[in-house]
Amino acid sequence: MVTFELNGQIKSFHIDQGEFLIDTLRRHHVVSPRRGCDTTSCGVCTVLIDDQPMPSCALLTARVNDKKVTTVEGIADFAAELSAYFGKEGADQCGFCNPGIALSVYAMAQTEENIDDDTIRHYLVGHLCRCSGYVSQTKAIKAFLEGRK
Amino acid sequence: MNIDNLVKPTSLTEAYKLLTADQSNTVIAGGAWLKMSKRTIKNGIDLTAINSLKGIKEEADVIRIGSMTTLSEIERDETLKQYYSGILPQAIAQIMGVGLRNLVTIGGNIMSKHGFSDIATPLLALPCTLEFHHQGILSFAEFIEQKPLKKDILKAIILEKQDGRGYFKKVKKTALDFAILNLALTKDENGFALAIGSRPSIAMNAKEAETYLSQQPILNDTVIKKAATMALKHVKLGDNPRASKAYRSALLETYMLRGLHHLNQTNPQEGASK
Amino acid sequence: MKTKMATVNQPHASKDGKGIMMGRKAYTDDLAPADALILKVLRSPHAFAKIKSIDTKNALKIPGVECVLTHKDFKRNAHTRAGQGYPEPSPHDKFPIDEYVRYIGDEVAVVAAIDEKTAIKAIAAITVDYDVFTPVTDFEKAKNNQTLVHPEDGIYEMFPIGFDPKKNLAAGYHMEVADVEKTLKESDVVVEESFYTQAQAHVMLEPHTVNAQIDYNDRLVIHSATQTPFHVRRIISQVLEVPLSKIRVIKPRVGGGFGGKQAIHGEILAAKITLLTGKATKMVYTRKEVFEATYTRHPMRLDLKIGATKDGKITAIDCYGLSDTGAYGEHALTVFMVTGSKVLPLYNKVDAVRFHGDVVYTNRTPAGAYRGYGAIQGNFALESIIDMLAAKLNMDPIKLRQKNMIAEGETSPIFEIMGEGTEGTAMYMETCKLDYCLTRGLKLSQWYHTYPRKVHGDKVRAQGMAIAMQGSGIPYIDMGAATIKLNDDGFYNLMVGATDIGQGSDTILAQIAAEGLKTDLENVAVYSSDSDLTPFDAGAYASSTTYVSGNAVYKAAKEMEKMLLKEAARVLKVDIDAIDFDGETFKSKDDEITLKDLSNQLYYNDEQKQLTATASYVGHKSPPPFMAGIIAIEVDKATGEFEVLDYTSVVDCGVPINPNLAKGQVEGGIVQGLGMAAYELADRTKNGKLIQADLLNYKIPTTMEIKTLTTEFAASYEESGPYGAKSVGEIGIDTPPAALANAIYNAVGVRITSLPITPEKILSAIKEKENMQ
Ligand SMILES: Cc1cc2nc3c(=O)[nH]c(=O)nc-3n(C[C@H](O)[C@H](O)[C@H](O)COP(=O)(O)OP(=O)(O)OC[C@H]3O[C@@H](n4cnc5c(N)ncnc54)[C@H](O)[C@@H]3O)c2cc1C
Ligand code: FES
Ligand code: FES
Repeated sequence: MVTFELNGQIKSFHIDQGEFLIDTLRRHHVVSPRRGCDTTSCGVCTVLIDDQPMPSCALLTARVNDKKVTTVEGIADFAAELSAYFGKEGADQCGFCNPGIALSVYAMAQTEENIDDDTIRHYLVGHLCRCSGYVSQTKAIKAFLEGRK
Repeated sequence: MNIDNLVKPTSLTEAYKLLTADQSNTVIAGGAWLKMSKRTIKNGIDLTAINSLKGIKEEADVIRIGSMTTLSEIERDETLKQYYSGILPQAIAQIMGVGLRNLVTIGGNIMSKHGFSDIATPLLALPCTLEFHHQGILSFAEFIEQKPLKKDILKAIILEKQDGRGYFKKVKKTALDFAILNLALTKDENGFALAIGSRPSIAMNAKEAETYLSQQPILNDTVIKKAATMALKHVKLGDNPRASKAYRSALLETYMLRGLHHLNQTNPQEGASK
Repeated sequence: MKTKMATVNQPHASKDGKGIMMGRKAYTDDLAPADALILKVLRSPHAFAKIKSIDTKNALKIPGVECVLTHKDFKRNAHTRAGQGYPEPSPHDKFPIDEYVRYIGDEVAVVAAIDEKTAIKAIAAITVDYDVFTPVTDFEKAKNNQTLVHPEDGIYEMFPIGFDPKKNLAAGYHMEVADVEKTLKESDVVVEESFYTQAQAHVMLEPHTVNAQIDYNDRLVIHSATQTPFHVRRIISQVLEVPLSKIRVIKPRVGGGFGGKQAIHGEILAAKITLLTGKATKMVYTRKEVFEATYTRHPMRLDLKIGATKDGKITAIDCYGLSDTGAYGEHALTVFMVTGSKVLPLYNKVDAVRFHGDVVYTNRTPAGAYRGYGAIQGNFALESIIDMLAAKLNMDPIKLRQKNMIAEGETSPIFEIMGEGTEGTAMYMETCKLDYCLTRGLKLSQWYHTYPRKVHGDKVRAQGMAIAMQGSGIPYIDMGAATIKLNDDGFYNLMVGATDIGQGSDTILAQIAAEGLKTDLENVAVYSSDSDLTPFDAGAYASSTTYVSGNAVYKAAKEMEKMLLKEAARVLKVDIDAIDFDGETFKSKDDEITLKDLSNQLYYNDEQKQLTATASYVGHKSPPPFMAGIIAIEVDKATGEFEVLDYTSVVDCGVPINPNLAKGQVEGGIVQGLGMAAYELADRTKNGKLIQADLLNYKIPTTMEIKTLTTEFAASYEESGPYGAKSVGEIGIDTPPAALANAIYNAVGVRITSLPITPEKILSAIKEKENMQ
């Protein structure tokens, strides 16, 4: 049994000791963390643990006991707003990488001051995207952060 | 990885007891590397509840990095950024992305003894020792040579406080790749330390070149060239799918030259790798 | 006719971006029933073997295992998984599960269990006794090899494609215009070179996924991450001998395809077990399975000879190609033909041209469709050798291209000779802004500012370029259809069989519909690709969606408008001609009615009827988009390492229906092309095992490698396209390999002829050159 704060609500789940957070979440219909690899290499499964991005595919669920877990469902307004900028830049395609990116951008916006292109790339580099070519994503994120000022 | 049971000891003694109780019992740090193994672990020993293993502490003569410190914490640490031109945080910042660095630990990296490790290489070039629960203190070089690795718990990485400068270079294909070759070069009042890793095996020192350099009154082009040639001669390089031995040799020579020139020019404050 | 357009050619945000970013349920795995049996496949560890015996008893004993199927449980129905129009130009050489395994990753058995853990356990409990053969792993030695990848009976071609399994040939092709050898002999200058391209992996981030269930109507319902739902339905029906009418295939949101989801993947196994057990099933490929057991790009060797006069008129091009289709022949012939047909016409003024060669079977992961589809391989070879020719002629490679490349109003005999698997279609280039693309690209990249190179110590800056063309659908073969339905309150549903796989086609097609109906984009709700509900579409491949499906939508919108006008005329009691419709209101001289009111009347009050317009389109030609691509790099002479500084693309894709999404297609293509050009290794061991079979080792570009992209579109209007559009989905991928090779040459004077172009290859070429001097 594990108890944690999931997107603002305290939840308890029965789990296997060896199970990973991505599987616990998906089994309970929180589907935004998706699996893009088996080797912690793609960033698609990113969630926030105490507001810091982490790959949920490599994180044992037992370990998030008492912690704060945020998936993109938990930052819905932020994600919706960001998506408008992705739309404006033509940065959204298949979208498989997008929820993970939204969470990293959220963490970045909370952690960093004076965000420039290099800061954005620093946070984005763990998020593979095979569709967009990246440049439009960086532009969209920059414009979004400008827009929030 | 398959874990039957996860235990969260709160003391090292308890953890060590568990670790030695059964062959398949395993310490779990970040768990990211273990995850990819096909092993079945009877008891996974989660070290997250042992507070003494966490964080970076500056003491009078040393900097102690707890084995459970995440790569992100090291990357952001102000003291380490100043230490030998900040080569350790620099090297760490080049490992994967923010998310993974928030999860994985320096202890996990060291204990994995990855050939490609971008952490072993700078540590081998720094005045560094490892503190184990059972074995006590080992020098980093002793640790690398220990085969097979004794079942023990790494407590901390201990860096001796010294004024020195450093240079680190990771040659890689894309930002998310393992190193094709990495180098860490340092210079302090005791002389030079030159470590080369991802050869593709784990880092080793270019000892002859270190000795030679430390004996030279000045560092000029001829001396640097000679040191690079010596390093090339004594450091064992090999092939793997990422690169051939021949290419690694070329990289080693070029970056040894560049690194030494860099050390020769910069003052300790500016140590960015070029 | 050009008029200012309201919805088309506007940078609308994609219709689905928000919901996706917010993490809503969308992809195949999100939609699987919670109680679906989990399917896992036991895959061959051998590159070539025959199963002597297979024992599943122990696996079946594990609690929670529902069933284990092997080749004995399937009827031997030969088929092709290619996912092409029917009859397919690919050999029927695959059985659902066979007693032979032909590559590491080939299916041996499939397990269905209550959860993943149990399924994995069951897989491990199956014992197989193999008769292991020496595999054919070197494609240059495959033809006439004593080992036959397909020794079995019962496989066949649907029509002549050069299929000859007794020689390890999946397909072959030959065409020649005039006498190439003679023309070459008479040419002042001849350059000759062989080029090699690798088995690039698609690496769409969503792994191949399928789920199947039987609904309350007793029909088999399949959700699949596919580019071709209608082909999937047909193939399942053929292979499992289930009537087509019993099968419904739904394509949910797809997380990238790039051709890798054109062919079928786990659908047959999932369908079979669901039919057998009556239970829902789900199969999600691991990333390793995606690498080892789906499809790759066809690796090729292309031997090129090019002849020219002293003053740089290209006289002849001769290309022999050898393509490696791997264990099965999906897209063997067609990819090979495109290597010629969408590359060679770039230099249409030659006196003679020949394209010929073989597509061989080997014991490696099958090759299949992949964005670029042969054209990228051909482009790498041709656009490299053009620069080599320029060097030999001592001529500016730009001038050489300008003198010889295809221009508006011109044609090439190749268009008529070569189609995809069949003969082609003669056509003239009604739009070809290649010349503009090139000039503009040179200007944007400040080409002559750096050309040929700028040296700062060990660091050398240089640029390299290539031009490219692609197609827009497969004429006379692939059809797209669209239905527009009017609803009460006056909004529309647009139902299309065209498959949005992340490229934004739902949005683009809705824009075309909105433009045709003069309405807002928000007023068109799109639903794509459900074989029960949407009209037929061949699928998302061959750069066909905008042009072919787009034309169908355009026609449907026009049809709908006609219906609306007829109803409005009835209500307003005037002639149709006397009505002015602005998308919202129908006005006659003295009366008017809004669309909203008209729709509500139609559905509730007066002469009630449903208005639905369906139209279909099949191309009569395949107008090529064109582009010029210019890469700027900085090379480190001492290590061979290089950094990509910028990539300039100027593209003629007709009118971009959505400039933002079009830019996304181009830039995504460029970066994927750069991946093939520079980073993506796909090596095999002697035993045929893929070395880079996960994302730790197979390296696609990241945001650190790609810092700047400069992308523009040429003003262009293709009469035959919807609102002037041509395709844009594939063209972006074609130029990077040759452009990079040319840039490396410009920088350090060495010519790399095999992909990927790694620092190691560059350095070793530099050293070789130094040693020779
Ligand atoms: C996708 C990916 C890419 C990577 N790329 C790089 C790279 O480019 N460069 C690089 O240097 N590293 C790289 N790494 C490795 C990474 O830096 C870590 O070394 C690795 O993840 C192990 O750390 P962990 O905390 O996850 O350890 P775990 O997986 O938890 O443990 C690894 C091993 O160390 C043992 N262990 C852990 N802590 C202790 C301890 N305190 N005492 C005793 N034994 C212990 C465990 O029992 C286990 O055997 C990469 C890892 C991944 C997953
Ligand atoms: S699924 Fe790829 S990093 Fe977690
Ligand atoms: S949008 Fe498809 S992977 Fe990023």
